[in-house]
Amino acid sequence: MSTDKIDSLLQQYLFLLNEYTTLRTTLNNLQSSLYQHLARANFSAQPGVRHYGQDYYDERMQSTSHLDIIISSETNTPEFSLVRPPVTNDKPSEKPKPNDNTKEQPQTQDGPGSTQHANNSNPSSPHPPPKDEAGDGKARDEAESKRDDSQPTTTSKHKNSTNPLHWFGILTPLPLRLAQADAKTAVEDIIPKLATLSEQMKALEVEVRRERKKRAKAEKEESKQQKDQNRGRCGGISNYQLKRVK
Amino acid sequence: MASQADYKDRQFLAVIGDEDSVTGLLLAGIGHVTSPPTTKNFLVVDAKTETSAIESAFEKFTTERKDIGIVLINQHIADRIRYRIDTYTQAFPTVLEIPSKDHPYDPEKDSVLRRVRRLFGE
Repeated sequence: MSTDKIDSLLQQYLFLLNEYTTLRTTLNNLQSSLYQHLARANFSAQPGVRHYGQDYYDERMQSTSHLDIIISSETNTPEFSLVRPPVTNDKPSEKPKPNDNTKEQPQTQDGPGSTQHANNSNPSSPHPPPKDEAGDGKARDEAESKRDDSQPTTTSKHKNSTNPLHWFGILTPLPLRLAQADAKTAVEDIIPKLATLSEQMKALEVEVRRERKKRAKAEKEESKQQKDQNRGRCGGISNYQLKRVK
Repeated sequence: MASQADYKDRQFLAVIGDEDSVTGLLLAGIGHVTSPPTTKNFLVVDAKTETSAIESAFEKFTTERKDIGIVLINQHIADRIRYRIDTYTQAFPTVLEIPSKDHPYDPEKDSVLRRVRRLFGE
């Protein structure tokens, strides 16, 4: 009974181990890619930059992502995940752009639809187009400023200030950005899973050891009982033999 | 197993590693500096860093600070305080060994895989 349980626990453990080693391989690949990108960035560093390293760290840096730990009700082990607080104002500021395009598109579509007309209309009104463009530009600026007013202007600044890439300058090289992408994947996807697996494996190890101890106890008791029975039999035979001798 | 108070406030990752490892991980946005007594959640280890400094940083991240959920440490640095890592049994924070640029990951030294071997009686 206990051996079956131990076997099933070990089976579970081996599944986790397999997952762990797979994730380890992925992490290794990501880390090596990250180091390669960093080395490339350092190799192609701008003249002023000595080395992309701790000299450029922001001393007031704040974490942009937080760990979220949940205790699983089934296994009673912690499950780690990395949560990036939503930057609420980024998306709206990005979304209007396509809208602007869509808004502009009808105009431009009207334009193309009337490209020939536009060409025709231009001569009729030679000056308006630049005015219109200027007007569009102004309108765009106003619209953007309105949007910026409605959504706090600090969002873009805030976003820029929290991005660690900007410690190294505004125009960072591509390899450094690729290194950041690798690091993000490793930190957000792989490391929390590895930590979770490590804890699950730890819990299973405890359970396996407990079951093994139980089994050892049960075996000891069985062997004791067998010994006692054997003694009893031996005792019985000897008494019988003694009676016959008498 | 662990009370909610144990893990509720653990929201940061800590790193003990060489410069490239720390730079890479900080690029992902896990670096955090608290003030007024300036405390960082990372330690850059170079050739001059003493083992006692690494050990005290590990001690600080695992015992003193209650806001760290995972401690990442380069495997070759973990080797320098192996006795400390192997005897670490707390539920929080979890310690994970990661490879570094000059020292690839060695499964033989990984504390999790060591536990596996111990379980199977090797």
